[in-house]
Amino acid sequence: MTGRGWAWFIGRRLLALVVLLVVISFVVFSLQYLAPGSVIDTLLGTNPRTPQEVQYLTNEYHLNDSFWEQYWIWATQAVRFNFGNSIQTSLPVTTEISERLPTSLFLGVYAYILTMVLGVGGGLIAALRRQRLLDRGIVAASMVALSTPAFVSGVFLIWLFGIEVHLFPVSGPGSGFFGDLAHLTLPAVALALTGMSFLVKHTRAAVIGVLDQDYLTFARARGLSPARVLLVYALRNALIPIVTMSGLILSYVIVGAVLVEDTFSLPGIGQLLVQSATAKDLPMLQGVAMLVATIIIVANLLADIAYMIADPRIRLGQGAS
Amino acid sequence: MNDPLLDVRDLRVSRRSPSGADTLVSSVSLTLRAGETIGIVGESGSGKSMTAKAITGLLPPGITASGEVRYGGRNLLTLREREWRGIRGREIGLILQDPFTMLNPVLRCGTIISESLPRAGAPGTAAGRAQRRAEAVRRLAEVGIADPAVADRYPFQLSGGMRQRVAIAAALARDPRVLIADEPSTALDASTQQDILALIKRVQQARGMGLVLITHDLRVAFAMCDRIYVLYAGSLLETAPAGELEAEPLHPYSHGLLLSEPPADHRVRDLVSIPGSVPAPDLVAGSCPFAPRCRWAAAACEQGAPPLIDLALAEVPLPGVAPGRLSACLRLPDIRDDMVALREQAGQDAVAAPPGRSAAPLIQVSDLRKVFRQGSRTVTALDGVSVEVGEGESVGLVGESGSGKTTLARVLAGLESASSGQVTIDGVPAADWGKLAGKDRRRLRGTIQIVFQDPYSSLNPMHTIGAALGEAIAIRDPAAKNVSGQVAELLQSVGLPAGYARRRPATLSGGERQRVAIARALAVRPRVLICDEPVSALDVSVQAQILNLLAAIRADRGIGYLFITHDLSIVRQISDYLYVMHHGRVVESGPTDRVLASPADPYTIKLLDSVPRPEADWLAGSEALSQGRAAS
Amino acid sequence: MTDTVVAAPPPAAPSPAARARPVTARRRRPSWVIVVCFVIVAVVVVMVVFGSVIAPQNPNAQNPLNALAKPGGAHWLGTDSLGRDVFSRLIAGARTAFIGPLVIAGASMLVGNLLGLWAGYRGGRVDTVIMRWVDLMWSVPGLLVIIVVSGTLGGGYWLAVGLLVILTIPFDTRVVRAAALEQAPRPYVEAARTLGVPGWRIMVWHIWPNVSPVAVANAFLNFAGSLTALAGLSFLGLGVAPGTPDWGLMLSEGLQDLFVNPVAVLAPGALIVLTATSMNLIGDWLQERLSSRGATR
Repeated sequence: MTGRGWAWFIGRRLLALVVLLVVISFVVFSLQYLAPGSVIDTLLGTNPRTPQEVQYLTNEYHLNDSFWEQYWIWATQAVRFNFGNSIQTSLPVTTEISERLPTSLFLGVYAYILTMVLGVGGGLIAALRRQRLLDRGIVAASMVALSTPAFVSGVFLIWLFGIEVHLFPVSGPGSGFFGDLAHLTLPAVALALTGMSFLVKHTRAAVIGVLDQDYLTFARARGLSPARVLLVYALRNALIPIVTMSGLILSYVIVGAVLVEDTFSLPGIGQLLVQSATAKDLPMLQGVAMLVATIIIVANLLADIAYMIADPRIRLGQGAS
Repeated sequence: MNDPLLDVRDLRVSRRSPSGADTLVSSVSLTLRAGETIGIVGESGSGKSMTAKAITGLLPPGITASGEVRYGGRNLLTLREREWRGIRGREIGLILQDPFTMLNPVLRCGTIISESLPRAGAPGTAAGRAQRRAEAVRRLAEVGIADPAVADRYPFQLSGGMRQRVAIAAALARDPRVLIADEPSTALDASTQQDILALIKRVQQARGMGLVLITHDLRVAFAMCDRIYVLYAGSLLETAPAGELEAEPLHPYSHGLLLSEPPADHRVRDLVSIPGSVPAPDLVAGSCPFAPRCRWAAAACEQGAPPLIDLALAEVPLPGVAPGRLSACLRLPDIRDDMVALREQAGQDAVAAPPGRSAAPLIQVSDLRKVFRQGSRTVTALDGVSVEVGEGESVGLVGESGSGKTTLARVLAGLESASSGQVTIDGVPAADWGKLAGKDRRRLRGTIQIVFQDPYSSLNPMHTIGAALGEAIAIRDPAAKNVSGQVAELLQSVGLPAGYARRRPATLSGGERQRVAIARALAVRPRVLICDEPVSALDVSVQAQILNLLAAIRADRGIGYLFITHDLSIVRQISDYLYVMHHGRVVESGPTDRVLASPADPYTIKLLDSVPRPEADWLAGSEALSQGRAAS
Repeated sequence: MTDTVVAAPPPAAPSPAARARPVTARRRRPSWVIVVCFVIVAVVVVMVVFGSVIAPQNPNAQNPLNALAKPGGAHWLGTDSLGRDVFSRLIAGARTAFIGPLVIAGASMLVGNLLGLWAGYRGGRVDTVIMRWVDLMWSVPGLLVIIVVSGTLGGGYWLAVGLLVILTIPFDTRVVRAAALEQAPRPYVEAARTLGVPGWRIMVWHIWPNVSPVAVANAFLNFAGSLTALAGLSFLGLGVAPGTPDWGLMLSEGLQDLFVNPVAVLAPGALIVLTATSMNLIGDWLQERLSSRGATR
């Protein structure tokens, strides 16, 4: 695809991204009207309801303005990363988020890498050793792992490594890179298990599908080296459908992060989300929701770009020249 | 240098299965010399592809081969995988059948060729890359692709014929001494087929290679090969030099196969068909594999598989036969004269069809246009087509892929609507069925029905035959009584036993499924039947059965046909009037005999020329043109 | 009945039909793994239906003096932090673990299949609209949405079930639509159209049986997924009300006392995994059985 073609493509997708974000922001903003009870009660939280408080909140949150004006004010603030103050802690939302973000990022990236490497690798090995013991073992294990939610595996890992075998620390984030690594290994593994098994299943199916293809037989018939046949013929083609799934994998990781952070007492974004949801801390909830939505949309965009790069048929359009 | 290049002895291929081992190939022996072309001819299930894969060590997992494949003084079947890499590509090359799946879709054509080349130039350097690309371009020119830009294109951007040429260039990259071509032209249009076969022949002669051509089409084998091996249900039934086999086949199967291929130059009175369908090798293990379908089978044929013997060197040699002709038929001396007589009789001309067309056509199409929009592209499938089909008339519609013939069929059957133009069926305007009243639509449906090409997906796999036919009967007459009786009648009218009503399509053969599809179409008692390539997906020996069935049905019920096909020989046998379509237009029309005997339009002439003939000039004629066509 | 013919490749077709393989319709007995899965599911069903009868103790009876007892004696799996019998709570918890997912999988299958068939067969604008919606939901992590909405509205089991139904329908729709799209251009569907079979009958009687293997397997997959999702929500405190016997809630309740009576935590976790795995495996097995009935190539 030409440079101009790429520019057009990315431009259109970015526009769609912005539109989507606006829609989501609108929904997120409307949440405070969905909650039972009046908006004032929600914003008060556990504080006593005094006329001064009510007056203060009404001014602070512009509650006398129309719905659209309120939305506009909120949206313009949000674009500048100002989501107001948390109802629970009275600290700026942005501050809270940026404090917790590093832990979650580290955990997320760690888990994502584990998922991709072990998932694709496991699926590949299973496909190459099809129907033999190793394959059956991997398939069985991934079947069980697929049905094990992150919090169950987290608990199990805590029990195994915290009580039975003291290998990894079982709670808290640790400090420094290697401290982080040690402390976040168990959570990352628990987090990665579901996505990993999903990836194993689909990689295995994709590779098996490719192994049956004529172009593979033709490559071997021409005497190409087994390495080339495996990498350039089998894997390269099998990865195409897998790339399209990387967005879904990210969803798994993010969802699992929420459960895992709770299990391992990690002060991350996931825990923040749950806390603010149960405490109806709306400003915080809105801030975290927008952050997560942005991450997911951007990740999906990257996955789509990767898909275009991987498959020339998509890039150049079908049909003979 | 008379030593054979490739010497296969008693090759057996079998598949591991829960019940032991399924035989795929029971015993094949063949020899190939340098510069020679041998043909392995067989229908599906004959084991011909497995033979090719066994020779190159590419059998799928679970399938094993035994016996000897002697090449260069070694038995290839004893090689380890590492040693095979020195043989594959470098000594023995293999071309597969489907050019649309043979090339890696993510690599450019130039890369596909250069990756197969022996190491030329320093890898990773610009000079090395340029050298390899230049070599790839040179190889492309060798297979008739003159435009160097093709090297930078991806396979999906090329036509089927071009892809096949690229594949041939890649297979020849290491200059093997033997080339095995497994149905190299079957997936292509008739004219492209001729070009590709001519190309293979030319390349073989230029390089002095031995060529093993695997095909299901005897006529192609006659045109290309020096010697032919006839394979059936995993066993070799006859081996002979091509010319002698064509003059007189000496096995009932080869004989039947030859007669099942309708000639293109005249209409025969009876199309001889072989009853039944090709069995799995294990089912016929203890007898002559062809006995269940052979009209001359006797008790002796069922007592053990007859050996393949040289007819001239037998205990009682067959008179008038040179050494080198092998056949596995016990009854040859007795039935030889019968076979010759049958061939003569079958070759007799048919009664000439009455000329002239009926005054009141049942279907009238005038200036039909159909345009498809795919995103930003528009494709004109039909560009002003006018045809007529009279009551009870059999009209042929000939064209290659992309000619618009299938689109026309779909418009007539109501599956598509016309973009412009008129269509009248039985007096009802039928250009857009969606605009008709329910009564008119029902009337049309009772008038015109369609039989599709692929028997494997024309029947709902989850329904029994009886349910499918019952549904059709209920459509015509919702208050029908005795539906199962009518179903049995329908089945019998297409030559199937009534008990088939309980079975599901997966347990039926291709020919049987197509019979059911015909029965379903007949259930609503149409007056005209559109047959869209109804026999193209069937084995040759079964094709003639279905054609005979269609002719019988027409004689019985007076139904008219619109018979769509790419195969001129078939259309000659079954139609009285002919339309030839090309790129969405009718380029020629007229009584079938006249059009095929003296075609006027250059496209029709080219199409006629593409029908394989057992003469050497069939290939030579296209060679001069193939260079010019290669760029298209 | 063995098939005896495989098709010759069609000449001059741009891409020849895949070669058919001979079909042997042999009825194989299910492997021992599947039998075990069925047994597990049967046990859970028994727990759901007869829970109150077979539980040895009252699952809600608190006995703080006997808190966190190890397994043994009257309490086969020990007690939790409030002295309640773990075993009885497990049995009672089967109810929330089974009924919600059943409703979700069933409702989603019904609506999703109808939408998917419609979109796949009819195509056109309806299909475009449905696909946009499905694509949108596809990229949204459902559990997070439920957390946010559920938290805002105060949580609750049936609220979560309702939200999960809405979030699961797109997955069924997508799967069925893809399968229907594959079937719709096939000649047997077109033959039905030319015969004049009405559209609804084509979708339900012709197309759906061929789509049913993936549809059924997906329904079981959804069951397993909903089970873990609901348990996860309860774990976070957004599902069942506090105090209800529920496997997910038991996990979070017992987490801080993991070191004292690990069984109180591991047992519900194990049951979650076993039930979900069994349903997944049964779904796969059913898919295989259903598609071999039609046994195409």
